[in-house]
Amino acid sequence: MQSQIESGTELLGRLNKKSSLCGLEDTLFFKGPLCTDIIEISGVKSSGKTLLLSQMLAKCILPNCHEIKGCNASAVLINTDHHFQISKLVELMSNIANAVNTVSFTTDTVDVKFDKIAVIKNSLRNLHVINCYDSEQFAVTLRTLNNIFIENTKIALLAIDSITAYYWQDREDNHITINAYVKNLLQLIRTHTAQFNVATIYTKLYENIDNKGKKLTDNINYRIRLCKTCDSKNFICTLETTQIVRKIHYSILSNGIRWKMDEK
Amino acid sequence: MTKLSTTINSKLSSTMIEKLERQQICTVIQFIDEDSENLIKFTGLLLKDILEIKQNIFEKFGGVIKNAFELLEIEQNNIVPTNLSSLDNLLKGGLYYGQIYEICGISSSGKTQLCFAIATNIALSPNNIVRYIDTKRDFCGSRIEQILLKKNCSKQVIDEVMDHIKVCCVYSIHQLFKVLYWLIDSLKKEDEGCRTRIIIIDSLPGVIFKSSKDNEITITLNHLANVCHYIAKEYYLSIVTVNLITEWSSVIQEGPSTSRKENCDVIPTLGKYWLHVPNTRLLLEKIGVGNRKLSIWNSFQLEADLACTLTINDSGILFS
Repeated sequence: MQSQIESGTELLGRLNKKSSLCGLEDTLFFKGPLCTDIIEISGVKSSGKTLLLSQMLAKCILPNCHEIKGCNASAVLINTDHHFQISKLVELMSNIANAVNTVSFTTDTVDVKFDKIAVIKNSLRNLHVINCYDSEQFAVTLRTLNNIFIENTKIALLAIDSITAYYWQDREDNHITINAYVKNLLQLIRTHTAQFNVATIYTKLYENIDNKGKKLTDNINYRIRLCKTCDSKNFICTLETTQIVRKIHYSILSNGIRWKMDEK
Repeated sequence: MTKLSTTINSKLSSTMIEKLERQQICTVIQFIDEDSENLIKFTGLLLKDILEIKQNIFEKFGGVIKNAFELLEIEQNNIVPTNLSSLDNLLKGGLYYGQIYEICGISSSGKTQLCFAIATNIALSPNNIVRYIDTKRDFCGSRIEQILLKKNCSKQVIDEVMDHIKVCCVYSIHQLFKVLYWLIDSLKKEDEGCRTRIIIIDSLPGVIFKSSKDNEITITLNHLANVCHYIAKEYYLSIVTVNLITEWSSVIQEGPSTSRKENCDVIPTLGKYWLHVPNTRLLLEKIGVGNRKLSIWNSFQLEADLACTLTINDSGILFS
């Protein structure tokens, strides 16, 4: 790569202090995710992939004040599936903010309500959205990440919903398996995120059964698999890291994903 | 993939492009990926120029960064109520821009009638244009007129509404793409005052099932999804598609009759890939004579299984 410019960006990346993503999703991540972790969320249709991603984005961009334990970090979302909706994100953000209120019994509700909307609207400025509509645009966008990270030094999280959106378009002229396809993209993403200490979360539609026995490869730090059960109200999340494999039950409610910790 | 061309930057001449092609650098992506030092060698340009060209490519072919704060405002300003109150309640106020809604149901469950009702109501509000892409030669102007007459609309209003519903018939997937691309051009020319709010495609299986090979269909549907998302997001409108459903009855032998409900699997047609494309899928079912149930089948934004009932008669669709 360009020698003079690279050294500058490297320096910038090293010197910039980012907000920690601790507390992004306490149920899933014990500590962290750490600054350059890669998290994969995979699952079948309507298993809550985009919802989980939105929930983490909400936590990421909310401030750490008024007892809202947000991460106060910026994030960039590359929207390829167009399932993500801002009003849904706002709903999830208000749920987080409301949950705080019920605990701390504030007196002046009107004032707090006004404040809350302002807090949410303000935190929305922390989120940058890039809409992509075809494979080439997505490819070029991934290559501009460096510039984006330089211009917005507060960005600590890169979200992609979903990474496989253009698999079929790309496959038209290049036969490649979906896993190899994702691996190539991750390699490219990593060259950008590693320098700037940015964590990556992406969703992926298909889940190959033959993946199950395989160990975590391609530098993925967390693999989150979302599955439906026979009972349409209950879902199972399998969390896989290099050390552990955990199963957590959850359900999808109108206000987001509810983890059921006590059940085995 | 886009080939390098002189339109990217005036400094990139056609002789340079030829030289680059000899080094296997033909597309814009290959250009960005190539080491700048090498590009200097191949083209004879200065580093400054190479970086400028790369920047031009980023701006021209990459995605545009938007702030979520502004996107929320755009979203809130572009909710189009269908004025069918039960439907609007289901959809949290109406149709949101950037969304693909799909109406599913067996044949004669009232999908087209629901489309007519939505089209009429949206076109009734001033300055709204409705684009109706008809793949089955089903569109019926006199039916729209009938609905409007029952609403006691004057001749002038009826004419206006008819004028604001632009119908287009397509007979193949190829024509559908042609119409969508043509629409992109004409949407660019629309002014803020009177513009397209909704595109209705009735119906997709009408043109998609005519081609056969599985892989080809997936690639076509991928392409269609991309074009639809582009139009819906960039021109602040919503798209309503109509789809059929397929019933798979698989008799499960094991266990007693507890799992009778699972025996009949109802899925939308158009295959596995299309399943996750529409943002909200509505299911229209017949219940009794003349009554229909409309429910949210699945959605990324709305709670599933919420439902309302409606009847279809000569004054259009009535929600009860």
